[in-house]
Amino acid sequence: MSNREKMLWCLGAGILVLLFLLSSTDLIIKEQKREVYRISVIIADSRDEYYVNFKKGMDKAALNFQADVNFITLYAANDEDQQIELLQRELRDGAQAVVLAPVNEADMLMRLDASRPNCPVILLGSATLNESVAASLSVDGYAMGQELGRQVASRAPKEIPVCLLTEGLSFTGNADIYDGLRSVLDEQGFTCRLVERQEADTYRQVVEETVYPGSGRITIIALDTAALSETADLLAASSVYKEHVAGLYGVGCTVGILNHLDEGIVTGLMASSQFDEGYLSVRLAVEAIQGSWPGRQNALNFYYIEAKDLRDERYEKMLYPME
Amino acid sequence: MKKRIIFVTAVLIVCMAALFLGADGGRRDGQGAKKTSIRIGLLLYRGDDTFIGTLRSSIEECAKEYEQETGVKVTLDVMDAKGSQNTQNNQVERLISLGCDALCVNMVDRAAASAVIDKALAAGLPVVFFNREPVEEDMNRSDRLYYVGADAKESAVLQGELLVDAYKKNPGSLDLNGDGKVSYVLLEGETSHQDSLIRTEWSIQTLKDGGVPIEKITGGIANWERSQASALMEQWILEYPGQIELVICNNDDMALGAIDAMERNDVSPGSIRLVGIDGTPAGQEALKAGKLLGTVESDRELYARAIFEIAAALSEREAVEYEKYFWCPQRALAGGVR
Repeated sequence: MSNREKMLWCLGAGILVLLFLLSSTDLIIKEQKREVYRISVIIADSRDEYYVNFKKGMDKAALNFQADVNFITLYAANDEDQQIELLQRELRDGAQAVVLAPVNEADMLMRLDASRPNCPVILLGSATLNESVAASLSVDGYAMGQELGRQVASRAPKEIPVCLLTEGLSFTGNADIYDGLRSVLDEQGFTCRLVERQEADTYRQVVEETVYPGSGRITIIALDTAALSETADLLAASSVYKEHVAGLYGVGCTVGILNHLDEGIVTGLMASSQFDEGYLSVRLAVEAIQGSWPGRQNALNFYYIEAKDLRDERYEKMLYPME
Repeated sequence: MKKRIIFVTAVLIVCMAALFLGADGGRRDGQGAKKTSIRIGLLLYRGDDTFIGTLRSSIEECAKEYEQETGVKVTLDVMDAKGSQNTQNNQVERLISLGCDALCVNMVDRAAASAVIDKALAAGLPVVFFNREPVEEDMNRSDRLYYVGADAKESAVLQGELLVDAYKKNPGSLDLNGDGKVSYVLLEGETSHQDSLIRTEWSIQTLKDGGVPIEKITGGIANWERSQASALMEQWILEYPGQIELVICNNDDMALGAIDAMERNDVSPGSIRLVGIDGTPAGQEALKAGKLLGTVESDRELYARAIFEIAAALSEREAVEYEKYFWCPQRALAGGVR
């Protein structure tokens, strides 16, 4: 074999190696790496049925901002200890930001202060902030309560007592709504009674009491989505109950609740855009990871909605968002 | 000299092979160690399908139980293809890029499974198909492909037997006008779904074998959907007034749609009998309320458990305790309509 042939052999082998290095390794051509932000969203519920629109917004933001979002529900609803455990687990597992809907905002803030998380935490439903929280996203619960109070006062008869149902005033946001609501209803001369869930059929008992002989009708206001959803289901299942309830108002919306609003079982409700909440929470988390400090307190708008508003284009987009 | 060139070339080839293997070997690092977290992609053909929705909830429950029992963190990425196979293919790619350990796929189009399998196998991922069975050739492409479902023939036979029993006990319970034959309409699922064809065929065959004198008035494809079934039934009520005695539905959602149409047109619940399949919560409510004559329930918990446990075992590279095909047991539920 001549020298020329040897050179050609070597050149051929060299080209093969070069081609391999070009196509299959990062040694020569560096592939541009797109950073994917790992964000964990921890809610206070054990199911996600109240978060359908929230998740649509969250998924949209995840695509737009290259985030890998892990949506986490609790093993048991409103279990604070479990929420903390899951938060710590996510931090250990390398979450770059955590979006948290705290069971109890005051307790959570104390615990966050004590644990000093090593990544940004975005709080949902809470306007309170401290050093451990990068940003918050919520509606103004007190103002929303006042608005709901004004709407009820303009529609419900004053002589009929008002029953306020809630999963618990200690749960995030409920106390603010309650205070705002009471400030208006008390001023207007309504008689109010607060009922917090104690057992599985607490709400049924309240409605059942109205059917007893001698009991009058009541107006019901549910302070949270779970209470509104369950009470609406109760009234929908019984024509007798409906006769004894002068009106059902509440806070929050799901497809089921909106169907009940359309059917006339729910009289009116306060709602905010859950799609926006999901989208903004992920956007805030990404901004916090990138170091561009997001606005600390972010308020969501709220609206009073009745059955006639369901076909209004503005509300329709908010209540039934497209993905 | 010639030997030296051959030697150099051989060395180069060995080096390149080592580089290839090295690149692959890196992915295998740590596979022997027990995982502390697994990530499973759950792809649904349509999230608003009642049966699929309840199955999804059950799978989520299984994941939570598994986390609590084993301490292994489970990330379940649920994606809804909204009836589009293209969307589902993109979702498969996204889940692979996000580092899923296994995929559980409810195909939009069962004939398109090969594309999903190609992507998954290229990424080294196992796939558990459920509810919509890929063709056998696709399933045989790897031993890391599984299928979980309910036997469509069994569902149909149980549905048929339920009607045969009712007829044998009291022919008047189905032959409502006493003309010696049971006039029925048929609400079918998607034409591309194997279960739809099998359920229709065997339900009718079982009725014939059981000696029920049946006569088909008409039938239609409602694609498993309540609203489409409702629209079809409304049309038939107007077209065949007083003639329909029985509505045979391929699933509960379509039976509920037919009930909606009956209620809208003031047709009393007892004047037309309806049967479904799936045993969804809404279907069982209708059964209790006496609006539905019967349905066939598959053991949803076992169904979901099988899907999750296969995916979890494959993710953790443990032995799978299920066969390649797992058929979920079913039972007929008869209501109180008389």
